[in-house]
Amino acid sequence: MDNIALDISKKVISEICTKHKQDSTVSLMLYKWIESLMNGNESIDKLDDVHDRLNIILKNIEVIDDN
Amino acid sequence: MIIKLLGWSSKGFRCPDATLSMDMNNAVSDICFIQMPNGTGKTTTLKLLNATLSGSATSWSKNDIQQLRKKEHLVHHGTFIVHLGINNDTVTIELNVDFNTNIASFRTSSNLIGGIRDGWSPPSQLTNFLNPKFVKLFIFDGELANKLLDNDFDEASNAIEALFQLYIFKDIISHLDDYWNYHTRDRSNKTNRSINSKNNELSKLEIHLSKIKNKHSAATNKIKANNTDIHDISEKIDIRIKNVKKYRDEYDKIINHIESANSSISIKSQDCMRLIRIPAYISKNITSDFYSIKEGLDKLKLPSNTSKQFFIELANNDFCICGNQIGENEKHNINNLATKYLSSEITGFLNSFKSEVNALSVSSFVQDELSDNINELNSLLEERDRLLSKKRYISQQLQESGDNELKELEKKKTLLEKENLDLQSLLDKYNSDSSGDPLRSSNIDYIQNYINTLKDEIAIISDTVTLKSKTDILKFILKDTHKITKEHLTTDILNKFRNRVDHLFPFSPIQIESIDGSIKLSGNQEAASVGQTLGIAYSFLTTLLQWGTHSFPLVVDSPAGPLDYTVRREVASIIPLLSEQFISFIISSERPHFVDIIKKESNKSIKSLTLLRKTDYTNKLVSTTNPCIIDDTLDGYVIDDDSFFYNFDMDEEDNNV
Repeated sequence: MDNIALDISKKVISEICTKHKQDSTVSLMLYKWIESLMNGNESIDKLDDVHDRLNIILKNIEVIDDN
Repeated sequence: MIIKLLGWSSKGFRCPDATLSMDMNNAVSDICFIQMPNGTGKTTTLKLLNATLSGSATSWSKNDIQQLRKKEHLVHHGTFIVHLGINNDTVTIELNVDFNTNIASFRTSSNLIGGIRDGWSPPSQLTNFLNPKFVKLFIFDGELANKLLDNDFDEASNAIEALFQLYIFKDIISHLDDYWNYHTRDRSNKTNRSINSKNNELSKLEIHLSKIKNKHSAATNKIKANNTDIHDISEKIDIRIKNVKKYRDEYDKIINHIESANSSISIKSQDCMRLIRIPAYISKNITSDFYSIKEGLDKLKLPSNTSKQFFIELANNDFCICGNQIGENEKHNINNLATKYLSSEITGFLNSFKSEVNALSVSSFVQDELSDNINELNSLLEERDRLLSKKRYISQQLQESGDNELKELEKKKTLLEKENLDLQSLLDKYNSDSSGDPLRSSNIDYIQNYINTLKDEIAIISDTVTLKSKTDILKFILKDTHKITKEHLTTDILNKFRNRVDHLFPFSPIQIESIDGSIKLSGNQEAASVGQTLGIAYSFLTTLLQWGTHSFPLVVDSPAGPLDYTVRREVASIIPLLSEQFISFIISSERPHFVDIIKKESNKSIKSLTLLRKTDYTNKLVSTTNPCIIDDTLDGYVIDDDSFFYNFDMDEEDNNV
């Protein structure tokens, strides 16, 4: 069942990242993290790991000024 | 992954002490009915199962714990042990409750976690499913069934979130807020407006600083140019005076003395500066204070990482530095006691300080040396002033005797010197004036430092604003992904769920409109009856639990209690299909048209246990019927006997238990 949710999430994350003008690196990083959390390889309760993940993802997010 | 409940044992709690195994002919039974008369502790058992599997017992309050304590017997501890099968491995979770301290604790054991561990610590592949949100889907109580159809609750949506772990998206968003607060906790200005305001201030200050620097540069250049002119004029004046025979020798002599005085002043100034740099020369009080500080410091030690090797090598030598032989005992002592003389790196600095202070005590310092030197310097300065006055006097005499050219040169020189003094006071002002509004200040360093600080602040705010934009983007991505993924999954579940409900209620069609928080029925349908509610809830949960690649046990309390016979038969027909393992707590009145139908129609292995609390009635019943008792405890019987199970007197049950 987690695979179904992951399969759908993967496609949706990619679409939403494109909608928010982010490149595939961000969607791939986000997907890999969610996959790891869903498979139990990582825990959302380990604050240091969560912050490390967020650091890397946020570094790769581009702020695009529409003006 | 196939997860099965292999059994559990309970001791010290309100339910009778009992050990139950789902094992049947060396395999886990597909279906297990546990017949427990009212008051035998079904609710307690379900609560303990739920809390042990989810690890939630550690958050129990004192009241929660005391309510679980055995009433009829004095107990101080309660133990509830659950055995789970994970594919071919076993995981055992043990809940221990201390009724005196009101503390609940866990112990977990499994090959999958490398043996026994203190605490609730199931293998990682199970952790995501053994959370309170998910466990309540397969340790099912009637309350959840009602909430699934109650508009005031979001249990249906929550069940989908729990099954597919969609709550992970929400958890990340929550952590993202924490992350933002953590990284900006010391920053008061976090907006674009702050950046604009700071940038305007910076721009004004940079223009102001540029103007001040230009003025400073102009003044400095002017002073340099004036000095060149003053030097040229001075030479002309000297030549002019030396041309007068009457003053030539005296004037030369004065100039030579002035040069000599300047040289002496320079040397003496350096001597004074050298002495001023040694605090002990300034005052005897300072020296005495240094002694006090030194006395207050610890005994001399060596910096560890640079001196440790010394002791190691010394211990390996045949002879000590004092000349004595180093044997095994000495070697042992050197190695053991070395640490007594070693300390951190700051020790190196302190040792150096102590050596310097010791040097003060052995040197005969004359604190008057500085004042003597200053007095000598003052004398030299006075001497030079006297010589300069003499020089000026000769020039004045020549001017008064009619040397107009000399007069003109002296006048020019005086004007230039005055201008330089004014310019120098302006430059001095640029080096002072270091407080207040930097836009009103002329101090270049002060303005420059203010600008640097402002630039740092702008950089920090810019980072903060950028971080805010980035976290906002990530939040949008996570929220949208969560929403759309959930919509996809809910649509798929809804289709299968509708088919299952259609099959379950052929005579009283119920149509499911949507799953939006709760399960919504179509059109103007009245709220479902108790039986229908239970049927719908089973259909929904089994749709969820049968969805993926994992298999979970389904534990249900009184599955047929509120159902009429028609619906009972329908539910009985789907029970064997619900999951790989179905465990049900029943009372004797649920046997007709439910247990017997399942027993008759299903080809699955079915185990029928009866759990009785020890009373006069049950003791008498057991002694007369002589059933197969598999566990006889302080206050209960576990009976694995089909004949006893089906003949247990349902009419007398409630009256006598």
